[in-house]
Amino acid sequence: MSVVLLVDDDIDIREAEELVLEDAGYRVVSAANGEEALAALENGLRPAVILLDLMMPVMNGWELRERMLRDATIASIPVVVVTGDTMAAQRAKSLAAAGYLAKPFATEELLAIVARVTAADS
Amino acid sequence: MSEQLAEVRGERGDEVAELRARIEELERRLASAEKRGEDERTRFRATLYEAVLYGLGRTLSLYDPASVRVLVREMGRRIREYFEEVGYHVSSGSTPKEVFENTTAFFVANGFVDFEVVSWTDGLIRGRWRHLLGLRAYQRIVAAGGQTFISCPLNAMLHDGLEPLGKELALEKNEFDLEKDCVESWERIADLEPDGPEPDTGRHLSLDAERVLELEREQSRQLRVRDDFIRIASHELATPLTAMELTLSRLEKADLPNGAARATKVLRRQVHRLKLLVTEMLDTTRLQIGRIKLERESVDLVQLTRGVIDSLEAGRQLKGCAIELRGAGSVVGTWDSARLEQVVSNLLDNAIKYGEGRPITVDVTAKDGRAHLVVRDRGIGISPEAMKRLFNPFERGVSVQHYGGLGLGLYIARRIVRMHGGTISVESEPGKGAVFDVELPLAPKIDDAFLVESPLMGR
Repeated sequence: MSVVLLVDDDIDIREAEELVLEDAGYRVVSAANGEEALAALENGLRPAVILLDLMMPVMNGWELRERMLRDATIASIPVVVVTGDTMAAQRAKSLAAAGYLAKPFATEELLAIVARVTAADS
Repeated sequence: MSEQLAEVRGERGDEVAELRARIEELERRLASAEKRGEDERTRFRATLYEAVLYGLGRTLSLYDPASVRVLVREMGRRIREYFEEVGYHVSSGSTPKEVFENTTAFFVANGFVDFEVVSWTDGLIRGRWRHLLGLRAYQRIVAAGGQTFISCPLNAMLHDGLEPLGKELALEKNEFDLEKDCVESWERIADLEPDGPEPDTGRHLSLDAERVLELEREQSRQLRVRDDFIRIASHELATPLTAMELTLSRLEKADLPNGAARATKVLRRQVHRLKLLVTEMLDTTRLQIGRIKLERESVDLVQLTRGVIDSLEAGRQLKGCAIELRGAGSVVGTWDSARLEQVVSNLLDNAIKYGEGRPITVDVTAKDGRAHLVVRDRGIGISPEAMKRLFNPFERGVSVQHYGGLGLGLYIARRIVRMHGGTISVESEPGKGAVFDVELPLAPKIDDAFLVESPLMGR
């Protein structure tokens, strides 16, 4: 059972993504910002994919990504950038992400990209 | 006697020698004058080239009043010098004509202003300014009295060069051509009116140019503010919408009592509508700031169209309309499939929305290296006045009281089609439905990149 780490400051987005992903058989761990996510990773959490929002308080998505890339033990965990801004594709590229989800996205899109990334990983 | 003769010969001989020397000197001077003319011409071209590079170095100096002024002054001086040197003839096909043609060609080739000389006869310059600010901006500038702002650097330059010769550029026509999305401008080289108002064309023009630049700056600032607003608003809307969408799809899977199941259907339709609106707004900002890049791949237009129709059917958005897909079994080209899907979906949405429930036909064909997608509805049709505005952002063919929407669908469709190097056209009469014809080259042309990423607006 693949683990998905959700990082988003919007509680309803986390809740909604959790529902969809758990229905599809994933185990979901949520974090409200980059710091929480980083703490989980440093405690040994090894998700198959991280769904990463960019604009967040405390530690934003860019900062988290930078910290991850500096740590060899977690640098290779695939990241999917989740953003509502106009440059989702470019952001994903600049963050060396495995893919992106541009808000608003549908359930199928979410499941498709998580399936693709976790399949490529295993 | 013979001594005398010899003396005379000697004197004459001196005279002859003197004359010979003078002729030689004149010939030398003539040659050097000719050479100077040639040098001057070379120098002129070199300066022109430098000036163009200078303009380019400032990333579209149309937006930098200081560099425009410097450029205009320098170009004017050079042109004046050139005219004084070689003379000027309005109607003959002499060198100045070539110079002007070269000038404009230079400007166009170097992307300084997207200007195209359509013809040059008897001192009448017919030109087009392409892909500029768009109709709204243009109309506002015209209303504010800045009629030639788009052609400002080149025009001001010509004025500056012509004025000392007692000539001026007289505007004959300056109109926004909606079909071609360009400003068509006709200007005639005419004699300055001796008794006309103050013969200060040059000064007047540079004042005009400054005012126009100011207007233009204000205009682009306002556009930026608007685009920023739309971008931020869409972004803010996208997040709650995503949460709604995901939660709703989870709810739909649950075993709900009849009333609740019907309620989720209403929610589904409304969420879908909101999503379309937000996507439209986001796309419009992306298109206007030139951030959309095509991701070309091999795409079958027939399959793509079928996919769009299927998803409309699945989402129950056909509202009882029958859509018939006809034509070739497969039309494969190198396109951006996601963007083309948007075009097809926008056209079909419109056909359904304005089709009054009557059957819609879609023909997909290929001929001479170009694909055609023709969407025909049999609905309310479009009035001639509305046709002119149809592809402009925020415009719509019919009153907003009857039909909602943001009025961006066709604008987006046309931008995407053009990015692909294609065209989109419409034929319609009120009450007789509308036919939208999208024509797409199967493979990209080399200069597509230039067409895509040259928004004069923005950064």
